Amino acid sequence: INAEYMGIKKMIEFLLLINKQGQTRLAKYYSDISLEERMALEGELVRKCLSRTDKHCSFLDQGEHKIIYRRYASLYFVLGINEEDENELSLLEFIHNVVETLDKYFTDVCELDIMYNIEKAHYIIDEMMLNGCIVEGNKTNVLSYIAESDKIEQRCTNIQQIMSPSPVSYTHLRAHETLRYLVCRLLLEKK
Amino acid sequence: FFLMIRRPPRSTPLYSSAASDVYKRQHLYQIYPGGDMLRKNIKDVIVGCRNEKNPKEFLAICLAEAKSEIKETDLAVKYGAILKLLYFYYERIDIIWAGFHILELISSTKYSHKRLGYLVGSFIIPYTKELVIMSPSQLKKDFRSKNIFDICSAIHFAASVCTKELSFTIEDDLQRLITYSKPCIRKRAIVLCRKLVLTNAELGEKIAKMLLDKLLDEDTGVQIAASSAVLDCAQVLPKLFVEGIPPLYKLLDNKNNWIVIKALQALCSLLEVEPRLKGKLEEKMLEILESTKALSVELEIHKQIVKRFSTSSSLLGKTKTKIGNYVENSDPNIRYTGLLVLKKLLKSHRDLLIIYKDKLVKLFVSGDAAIKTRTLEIISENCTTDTFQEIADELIPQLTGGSLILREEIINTLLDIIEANEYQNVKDFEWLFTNFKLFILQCPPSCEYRLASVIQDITIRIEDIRNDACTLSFELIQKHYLDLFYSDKNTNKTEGTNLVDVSYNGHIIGALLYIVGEYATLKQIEDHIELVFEKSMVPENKKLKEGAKIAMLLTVVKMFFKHCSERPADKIKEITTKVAAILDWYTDQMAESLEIYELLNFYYGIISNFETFNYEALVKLMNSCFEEELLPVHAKSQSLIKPDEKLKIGEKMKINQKEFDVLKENQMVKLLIEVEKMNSGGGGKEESKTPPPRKAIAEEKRVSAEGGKEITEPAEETKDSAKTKDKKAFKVKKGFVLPPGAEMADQPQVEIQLAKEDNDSQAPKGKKKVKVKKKEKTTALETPDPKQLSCLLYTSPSPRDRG
Repeated sequence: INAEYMGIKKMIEFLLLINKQGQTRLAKYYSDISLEERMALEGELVRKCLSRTDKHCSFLDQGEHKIIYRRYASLYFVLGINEEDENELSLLEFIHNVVETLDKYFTDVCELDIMYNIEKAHYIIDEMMLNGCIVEGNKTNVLSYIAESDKIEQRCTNIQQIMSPSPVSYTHLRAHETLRYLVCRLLLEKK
Repeated sequence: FFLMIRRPPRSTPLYSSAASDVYKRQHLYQIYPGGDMLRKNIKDVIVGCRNEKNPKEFLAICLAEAKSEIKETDLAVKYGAILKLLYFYYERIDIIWAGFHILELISSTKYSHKRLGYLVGSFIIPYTKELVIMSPSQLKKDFRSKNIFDICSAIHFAASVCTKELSFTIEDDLQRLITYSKPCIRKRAIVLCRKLVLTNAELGEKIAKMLLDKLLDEDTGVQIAASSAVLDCAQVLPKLFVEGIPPLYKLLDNKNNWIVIKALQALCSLLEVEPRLKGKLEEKMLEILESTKALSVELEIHKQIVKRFSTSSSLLGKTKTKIGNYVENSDPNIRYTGLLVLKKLLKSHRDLLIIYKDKLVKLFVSGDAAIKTRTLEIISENCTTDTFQEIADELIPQLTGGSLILREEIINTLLDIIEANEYQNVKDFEWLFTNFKLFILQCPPSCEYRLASVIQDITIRIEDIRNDACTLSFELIQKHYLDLFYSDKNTNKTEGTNLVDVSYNGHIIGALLYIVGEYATLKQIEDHIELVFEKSMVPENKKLKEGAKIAMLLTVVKMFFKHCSERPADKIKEITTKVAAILDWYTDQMAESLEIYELLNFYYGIISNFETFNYEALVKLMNSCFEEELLPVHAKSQSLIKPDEKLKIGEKMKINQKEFDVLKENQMVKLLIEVEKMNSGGGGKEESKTPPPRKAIAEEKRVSAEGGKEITEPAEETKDSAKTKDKKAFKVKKGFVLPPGAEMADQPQVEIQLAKEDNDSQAPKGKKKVKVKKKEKTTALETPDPKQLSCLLYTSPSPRDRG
């Protein structure tokens, strides 16, 4: 059912974020790999990555796929391509770019951020790579788009986090109407 | 702020308006999508999963809840449920069933719903029928939406799932989308175009124009997308993109490295359709090499040089110098990518291997698995006669003390080079044999078979090396016999302890014994015959596989007969008894297959009759059997071997009606037919049931008594059979025994015609030292005098009983 690529030789086949325990935190597949194959692939990949140290290079082979990976804290960012003709160093740079963008968006991103905001992580990566094709390298562009779309989302779901003030007491609300020095009890309470 | 002032909240039954209560209610405002309607929102699910002792059960509960929530009409609830589905997807729970609900979410007017719907949809919808249902309508609607983010999500989705059918309906909107005012939409539209071109070549022309226009767009993002798209499409439909060459050339000056790389790749792939481009591109590449600071761009240029510009000496010269630097860089990534370029370079310029030889070995020694594999690949593909010996000299010391995988790789690579083109790469076989000793001792189990066959093959083909081979084999048998049994040679063991019985086959032992048996000179035999006898009775031999055991047996016998050929009678008696003892021991311990058993039978028969027969004549006879040189037969020549006419191999097996009728008379067949009738008749007559079984047993017994029919052996014989009886069973089994006196001549003797000399193989010219034999000629082991031997073979029940 997936579209058939006619004769295209080099393409990015997948992007995975796998943690050290072998759990996939994010997976984007751009080619026809069946669901069972995906599981096997991800397991194999994490095994291979775990056995390598920092002194090893960031490239390895997994079946027909050439793998480019990098470890950031507890997550392995793995990119799979199907032909060696892709420029590997630039793809390594791309991975770094993605991580930096995520870092800027989530401020000091960690694995938990991605877990709890999986859809946001998807949106960010989608902004940079679409269908195996890298479309954006500039972090600011990416983040401005995401910020705008976030705003619209919030308007839709009525999450009043930014726009709405936190609830205050009646006294606080009308305190300006008097010259007396009133102290709001809430402000005194420890949070 | 002032807009937010409203009347102070009155107390309701649930909530009081006291300040402290208001304060405490703050958290309620952080509403997650779906609000209070969801029993668990996504955060609860994740937290729950992490905390629960049994996450699978918890997930099953959540899944059930989600399934019911997703059916709600309220889209906010649907949204919450589908968000949870995303989490389930990562927990590898099947969510394909939700296709329809996702469609509903997509059709919502709210952007957040659409966005999520499209995201999860791209995972699922390609696998469902819903794609066909939704296809054009929803997408077209969204393409015309006023909200640009809607359009973006829709295009994104379309690009992910586009099929050929869909492409026809989408193409109308493309023109509008790709020239939209907002770059984010243009960017996505370009990728959509790329996808359309790849799924549907007919749209190629139309789209090519659109894409090429965007190459010089003002927005960098759009340019990046356009250059990637043009690159991919140009590989598939180069002719349509020839017009894009000027803008692509302009892009080479761009600041963004991505764009430069993609543009370069695109231009190089268009070289085939536009060869005039080459000259200009060469200049430009030199220019960029000077000016760029980005290593990725440099490497890309070198790659392209090696791939397409290897005729240009100035460019190639640059690459040659630079590669040395890359390959020695401290950063392993640069080493690896440099290695890839080197690999391509050496493919076209094999003579350069010498220059990089020490660098390669350094890489191999220090590098990690990926680098090592590449280095070995380079070596094995590019080694020639001149380079092989030097490189091998560097690699072979790596064998000692290396890990299993390392040794495997080295040995496999070296064998690859050795075997290539019928040993063309090897100049000095003597040097090779000195190294074979190390190979054998360090050989991991996976390479065993290959190493053994290579050694055997070389020894067979090259006459001059046979002496060396025999010396080596004797040495190994003498000093390292038990070492050859261990699957991992790296541990320190003393002989006789720590027998590791892993998957050892004995290929190497078999090969060495074969060499010794066939080619040892009389002097060598005299020196070493005791050794071989001793080693043949080593208890570990039981673990050898059949082939090695047979080789051992035959070697003992061959050496014995050759040794006897010039000895006086009394000395022979001693040895004869020894050999008889060996055969005895073999019968006891090692004769587990019919072939070994038959051989033992045969030779025991001969040897134990030394006194009765004229042993000199017998020895002469046996030696004449082993005299002819055995040479390998080429596969093509084997087809020229014609089998005996009596064998009727080509004929189809038919039973004509007469024969079948005769068969039918046969009781056994009658029985079978009856049984069949019973089975097909279903619940037939009860009377007919019981008599036939009884009849069956009676029939069996009768049939077995008659003999001459092949049936399973009656139970009694096999039950209480000791080992010897079992062996009797082999022989006694009716149907295998020829009536006494039958001549061996009855057995078809396969006469192998002399095959013509193979035209392909030619003795390597200019090599004085070594002559590699390429003839193919084999003769069957002719049995010299049937009558003499047949009575020996068939009248004795077992070799033992001869006493």
